[in-house]
Amino acid sequence: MWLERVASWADRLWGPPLRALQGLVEQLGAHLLLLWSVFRWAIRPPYRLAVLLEAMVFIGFESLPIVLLISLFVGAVFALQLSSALRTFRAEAFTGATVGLALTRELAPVFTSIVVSARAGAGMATELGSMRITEQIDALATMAINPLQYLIVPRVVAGTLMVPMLTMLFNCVGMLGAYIVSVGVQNVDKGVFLANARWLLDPNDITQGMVKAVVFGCVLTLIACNQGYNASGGAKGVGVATTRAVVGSFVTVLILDYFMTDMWLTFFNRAARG
Amino acid sequence: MLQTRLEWQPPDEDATVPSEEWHIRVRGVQKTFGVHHVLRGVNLDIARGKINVIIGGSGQGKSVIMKHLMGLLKPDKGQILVDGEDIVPLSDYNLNRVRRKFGMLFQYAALFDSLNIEENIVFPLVEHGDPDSDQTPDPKTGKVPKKRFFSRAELHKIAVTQLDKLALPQVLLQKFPAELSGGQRKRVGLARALVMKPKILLYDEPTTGLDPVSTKNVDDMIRDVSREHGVTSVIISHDMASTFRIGDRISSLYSGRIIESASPQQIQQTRHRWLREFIGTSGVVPMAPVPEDQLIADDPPDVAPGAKR
Repeated sequence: MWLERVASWADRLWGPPLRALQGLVEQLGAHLLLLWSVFRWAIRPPYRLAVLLEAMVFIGFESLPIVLLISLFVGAVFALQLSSALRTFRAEAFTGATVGLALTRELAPVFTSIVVSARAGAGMATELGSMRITEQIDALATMAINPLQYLIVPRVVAGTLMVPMLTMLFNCVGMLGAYIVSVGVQNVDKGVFLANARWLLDPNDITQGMVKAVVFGCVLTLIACNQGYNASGGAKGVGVATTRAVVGSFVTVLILDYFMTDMWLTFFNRAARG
Repeated sequence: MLQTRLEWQPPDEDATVPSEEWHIRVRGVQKTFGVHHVLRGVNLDIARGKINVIIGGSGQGKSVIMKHLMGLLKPDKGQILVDGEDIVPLSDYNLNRVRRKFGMLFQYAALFDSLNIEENIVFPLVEHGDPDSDQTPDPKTGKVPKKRFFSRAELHKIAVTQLDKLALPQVLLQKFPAELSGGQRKRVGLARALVMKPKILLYDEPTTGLDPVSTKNVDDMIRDVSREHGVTSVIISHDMASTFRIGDRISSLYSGRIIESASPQQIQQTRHRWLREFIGTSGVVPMAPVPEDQLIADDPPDVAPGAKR
């Protein structure tokens, strides 16, 4: 009798977090299996270039205006805050270099992924979810077309290719925003701004950001496609899938960012970790 | 006193041998979703070149059977033999080979929202090429000839021809599915299913939600397609008027099993109590009188063993 009470009490205390953990592990497994399936089907013909290009336009080209707008203001506000703080140490000349480091290593890949996830990820989850509940995905299967190969592979490949390109543009326009604010508003000498930026930034910083962008691009499209593809429960189910796609992408990108940064800095043994 | 349930028994022959009479044969298929034991040992024979109708109450598993026929679902147990080949153990890659024999009309047509009507109709041709392409390997070199793909002009012509055959106006070609009525969407869905010249056509409740005139038009369309193309048709329906109007063979699903499978005339003489009530309630099909003591009582559907009730 007392054992049952203890068991019941333990279940109430530990049950929900353990079940949540179990759910997380199941989700991780499902996504890894999907990634493996995407890889297997990506290397098999037919190669649908038109579908891939369409996905690249949707994810990359159509996200461009918002990515550029955000990058301009992110660079600008960062420069504003940094120059104000660095002025305390009479080091405002390092604004450009610091913003450049922050952009290339962190801000560009993370913000780009968040923007793409919110825009394109939500769109993909909604589209695939609607296709699922209206049996369009089943219709593809009945026509001897593998739905995963037709719908998910082009989107994941497109995301993996386009997010790094958008990230590079984010870097450039972000630096432009920082330059405008530092030189135009905060009166930092433009020669000093550029010289310090060139001195502190090196290809390793850009590479770090690009590697992150590749991984984030793959992950966010995978999550969005998985949620939409497995949606159920009518219109409400599509809404739930879209919300999960966006929130899941955000959280995963931020968690991955931490671990990738830790691995990268450990591997390259940068002085910055001191 | 009511007799115990009798299920339809398939003929005692090797189902793995391709048959002239039977196109698809289902043996002992079971499927459970969670605690719901939907299919509990389904045996079913689909007659080649005929209109086969599967009837049953709502939620009995008719659509589940249909999805199994095409390999969209895999059974927990049992065999599904298409021209003698068991499709259950096939991989997705190999299933695609079998699926090329099939065409399917979904309940709400399942047209692709992002494509216009012309693009929807020719979509399978864009993906798979000319279904009449000779794919016989060269006897000297062993090489398979390259598949022929249609030009844009040819695809347009095919789309126009398909619309004409199904009495749809050409003006629909540039419209999108959301702009069409339910009946028009079904016809376009059928046009898309027919372009690859399938040997087997599946219809998932083709007349649900249609007015009586549209229902009759869809029935006529199914019958014409079956006769003209010699296609084996499998229809899921609980529309008794349509079933008895066009069906060559009717199979009844109840409690996860096929309890009766026969011609419409034989079905009207069924001794299954539930089936008599199911058909008789429609008021469109008279049932032959059967003495009470010869009726068969069918057990109600239940849940999987061990599950909580």
